[in-house]
Amino acid sequence: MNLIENSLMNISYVFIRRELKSTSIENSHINKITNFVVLQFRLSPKYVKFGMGSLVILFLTFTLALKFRRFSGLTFKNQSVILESWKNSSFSPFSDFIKYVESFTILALYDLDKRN
Amino acid sequence: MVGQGLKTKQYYDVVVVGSGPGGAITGCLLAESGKSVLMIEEGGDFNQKSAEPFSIQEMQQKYRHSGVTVALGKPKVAYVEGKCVGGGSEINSGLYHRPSEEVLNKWVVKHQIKDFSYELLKEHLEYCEDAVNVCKMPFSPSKASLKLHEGAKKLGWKSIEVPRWFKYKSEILPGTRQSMTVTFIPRFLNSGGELISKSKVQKLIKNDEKSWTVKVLEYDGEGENEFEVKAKSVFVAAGAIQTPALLLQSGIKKNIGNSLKMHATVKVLAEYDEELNNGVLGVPVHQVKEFSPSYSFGGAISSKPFIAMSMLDHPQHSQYVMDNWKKVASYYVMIGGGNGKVRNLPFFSEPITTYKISSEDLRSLSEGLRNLCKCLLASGALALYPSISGFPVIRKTDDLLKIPNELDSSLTNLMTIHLMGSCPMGENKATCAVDSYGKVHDHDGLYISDASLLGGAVGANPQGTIMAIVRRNTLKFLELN
Repeated sequence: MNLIENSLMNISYVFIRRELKSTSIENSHINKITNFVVLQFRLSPKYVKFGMGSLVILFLTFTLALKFRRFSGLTFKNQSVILESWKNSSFSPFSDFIKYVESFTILALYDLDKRN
Repeated sequence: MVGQGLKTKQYYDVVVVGSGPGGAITGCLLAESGKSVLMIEEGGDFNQKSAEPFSIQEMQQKYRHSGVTVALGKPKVAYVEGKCVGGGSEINSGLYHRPSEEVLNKWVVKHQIKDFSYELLKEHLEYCEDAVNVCKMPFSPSKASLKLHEGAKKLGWKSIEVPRWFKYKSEILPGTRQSMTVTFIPRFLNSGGELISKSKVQKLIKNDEKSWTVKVLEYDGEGENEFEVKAKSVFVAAGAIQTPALLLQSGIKKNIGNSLKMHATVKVLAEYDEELNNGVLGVPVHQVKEFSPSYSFGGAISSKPFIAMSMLDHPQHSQYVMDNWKKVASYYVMIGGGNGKVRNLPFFSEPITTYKISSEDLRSLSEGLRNLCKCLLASGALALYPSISGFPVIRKTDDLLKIPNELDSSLTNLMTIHLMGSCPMGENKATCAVDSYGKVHDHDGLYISDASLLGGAVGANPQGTIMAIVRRNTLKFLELN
């Protein structure tokens, strides 16, 4: 697991918390969902991986410059605000990157929900 | 596992690259005629029951890149390709359409295809329909399907129940999809054909007038292994993206990968006042053809995970819809316009796909979306959620005016599962990659045998058309060889 994959997991975890609100979820289920997001990234075409990897680095740098803290060290509220601003960005690579993680998180979350 | 995973020779009469509908039929007919045939499939070898249809497990087993593929452009089009023994036939909905005479005639004129017409293709269509048991369901279609039909009938629009390649054991149980792994591939193997999976053909090299070398990279859990095999003839049937990519990789470029066509779709979730979704709905079988070939409507997969994903475009309504997901079903409007290219990039092992959708196509999609919404409202839908970021919810006929005349290309989320036409067949050397029977122009012994051959968008699920054309071309090959 490298910096890029760890960051994808952190972003995915924010979307899980946002979707579930106060509903509790087992850690093993969180791991299944975030691992699914990472696996999807690993299985992506190389040019997608290259683009996504670059965007993750840009995202981390942006967060650090804006908040003087790493994304994983921010409060859930601040993490959500940053993700929302990137998702609604008029620069489509930013919004596509966030939607990519969000879509696979939601897909895996409800797939798991369907099985339980 | 369907195949034996064995290769017993160094030299075959024919190597078939790919095991989807094109490759499976080609291999089957050649093996049944006594040719020694090796079929090489890049994906894994799974039986049909190895994963629940349209689940994430199936995505990871049977889809190329686990379903993460996109044609770049404005708007981008997300697409999926099968990558497993049986190819696209293992993952599609199994809805069967014959091509229209009008569409085939257009291809004949544009590409100068010899001996090709609806009448001449009819015997091949009938043969394939029989082989994969094309039939209507023996029981009533799902409520979601009937809703679309009811809406169309109220508006006086043409709506049809589409038959599927399914076999039903009773009038209660869901049937079995007659994909390639239960039809042509067993016939291929029983006739002495050999099938190896998890093996990617990297390059084709012409040796002399009599043979081709096929360079293959075999991979499994333990590592990779390169090998070569020789054949008198090679049929490339790797699908509308991978076939041109392989040919380009092999230095064959004339009219290869320049004319990709897709059926781009926009989805709409419809919420009703009654439960119509049990989570295992499958794909609704009714389709509205009133506006075909410009656009048509149908039903899409409506499982809870897919509904949740679609609602990401309407976050403020997401909680409510997910609490009521059993009252929600997914529909789509589909167009056949646009043109794409398939290219290989230096340093990247996968091809890159671009697709251009014109303003006219976006206007057509917009009109289609408006009419789909009109149809769903007529069927009693309470609220409609188009998969367009930030788009308003449509609750009454007056809201249809909120749909712009041309959809915003940066906000519209398009997707497709139908890819075709990247190497069209015909005698017109300005547009065609292969001749009227699939032989690559100026390359003896090399054939294309899949969706790449089609002369344009079919306007409906293209598998029936692909199977019939491939049979026609393979029988011609056997007549000449």
